[in-house]
Amino acid sequence: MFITIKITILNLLPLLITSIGACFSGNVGISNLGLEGSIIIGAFSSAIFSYYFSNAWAGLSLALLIVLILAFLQAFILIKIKAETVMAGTAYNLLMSGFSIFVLKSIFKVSGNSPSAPLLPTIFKFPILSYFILILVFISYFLINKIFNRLIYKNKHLTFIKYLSFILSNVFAALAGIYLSLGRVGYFNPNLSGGRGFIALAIASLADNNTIKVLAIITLFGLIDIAQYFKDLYHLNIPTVLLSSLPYALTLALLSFKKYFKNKKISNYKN
Amino acid sequence: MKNKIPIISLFIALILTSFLILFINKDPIEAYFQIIKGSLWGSENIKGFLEKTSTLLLTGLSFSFALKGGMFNIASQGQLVLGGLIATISAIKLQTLFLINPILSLLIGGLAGALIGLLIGYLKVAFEVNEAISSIMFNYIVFNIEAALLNTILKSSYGTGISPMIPKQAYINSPILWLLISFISALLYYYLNKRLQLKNNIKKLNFKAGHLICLMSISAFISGIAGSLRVLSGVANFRYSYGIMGQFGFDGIVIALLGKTTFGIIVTSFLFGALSEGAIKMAIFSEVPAEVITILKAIIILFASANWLIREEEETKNVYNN
Repeated sequence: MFITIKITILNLLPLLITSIGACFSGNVGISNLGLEGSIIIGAFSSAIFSYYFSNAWAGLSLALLIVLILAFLQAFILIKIKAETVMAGTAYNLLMSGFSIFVLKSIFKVSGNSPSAPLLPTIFKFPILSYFILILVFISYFLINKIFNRLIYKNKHLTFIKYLSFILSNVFAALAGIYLSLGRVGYFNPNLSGGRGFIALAIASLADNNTIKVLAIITLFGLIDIAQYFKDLYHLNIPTVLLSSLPYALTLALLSFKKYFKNKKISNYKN
Repeated sequence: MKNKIPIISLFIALILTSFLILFINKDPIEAYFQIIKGSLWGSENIKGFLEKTSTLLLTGLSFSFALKGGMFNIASQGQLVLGGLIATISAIKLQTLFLINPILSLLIGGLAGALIGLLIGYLKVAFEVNEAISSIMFNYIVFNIEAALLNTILKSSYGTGISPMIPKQAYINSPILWLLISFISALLYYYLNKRLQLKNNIKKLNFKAGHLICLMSISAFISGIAGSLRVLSGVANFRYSYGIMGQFGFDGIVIALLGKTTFGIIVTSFLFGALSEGAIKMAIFSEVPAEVITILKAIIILFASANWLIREEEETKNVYNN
């Protein structure tokens, strides 16, 4: 049971941090479709550099540096050149996944997993990045609500906040990737991300870019995961497809009901 | 000038990927030659090229239909998968019916896709759910259904993730038919465009809720047809196999946004069809990873994304000037 809970938490942390990242970009009105690409390049570059230098910390810092540069370029294209977000995001995702597989095939001569790299240390059997991610969630709450939103309200440093939010959203996604490769498995695989960037976008939109609501939704996802454990334990005859689709169906249902909650609020306000 | 932008971006992308190929000590000219030869030389290669082109044309049109109503149908991939799965089931169940089997299976697969589009459209209109986000959710639900079906109803002794063979009567294995089906859809899109343009001159486009649901359903129907066609045309030896839909749904988005007009979409899907088919041959014969083509596509899209809005503004200006 405790192992199940631990695995569930470990599995959901990358989704959590990516969703928080999506909140940052959503908060300034950009739907960042490139989150998936940032997860991929974060996982890829950290695994490669960690392998090359046989040092996980070198992998972590170089991966963050690369993502920082890429995020700045992407922010420039989106905000300054005013590129179309869906296309630019799709291009970025394609570029990142294409480039990582290209390097794997041409330099390492493999098409699946990259050579295994040293992992980041663990504290109390949890990867060190998992604590870091949890701290970041709370910092993000204050950063968005107390600093960014106030400055936006006062109409100060708007462009700077836009750039910073967008770059932070990509860095957070990259952290999810680094967590996956250097925190969990110790190698890079093209399917490592598994669409987390896209699901994170949906979660952030469902949560109105509010970090606390994101935490609540992710907890709900976790409970569904743990329900799967009970299903196996008591041999309940529920088809797996129902439980595995449940998080997505639930997100859809919650999104649909959101409108009614909003309308209620408005009518209460009028009364 | 604006018509030349895609061609210029293609050349820039070719030059950039050439450097990438040079970097791994391979000859870019040889690699590009293999792409052309691998897609346009020999009947097998041409068949593969046309099969990819017709799927891309259909998914590209599918996205364009939704885009006409200002909606992003990102669920094309899911609709392909569901359409293919349901068409496989129906083709197997309808065993003996000659001639009706392929037509019926194609339509049933299309309707299965349309069902997703209907739901997405309805959720958007009635509950104001962003269609891009519900699309992503539906994609994942369909991927789960795919795994479940391949483990139960469509399980075969051939291997994991591979369905039983569809009966011979259900085959649609002539490239001319594939192209015919996709060109009929293109004609439909052309006709819709013409109708909308007539209205556009009178007043600004104003879609009603029903129109949006209808456009989304048509869009999803075409994706479903594309998925069914891939199974019935025998891409994977007349079976549904895991991964048969590749990334065609997502490529369709790119084709629609790059092509823009009916003619543009047709040209772009032929180009991308040749690139995808040629990439496989390039990887075999000149040992350059096929992902070079992914990078090439990405660079083209990146350039187009920067120019997209500018072109849009120019076009609206032209409308007002007329």
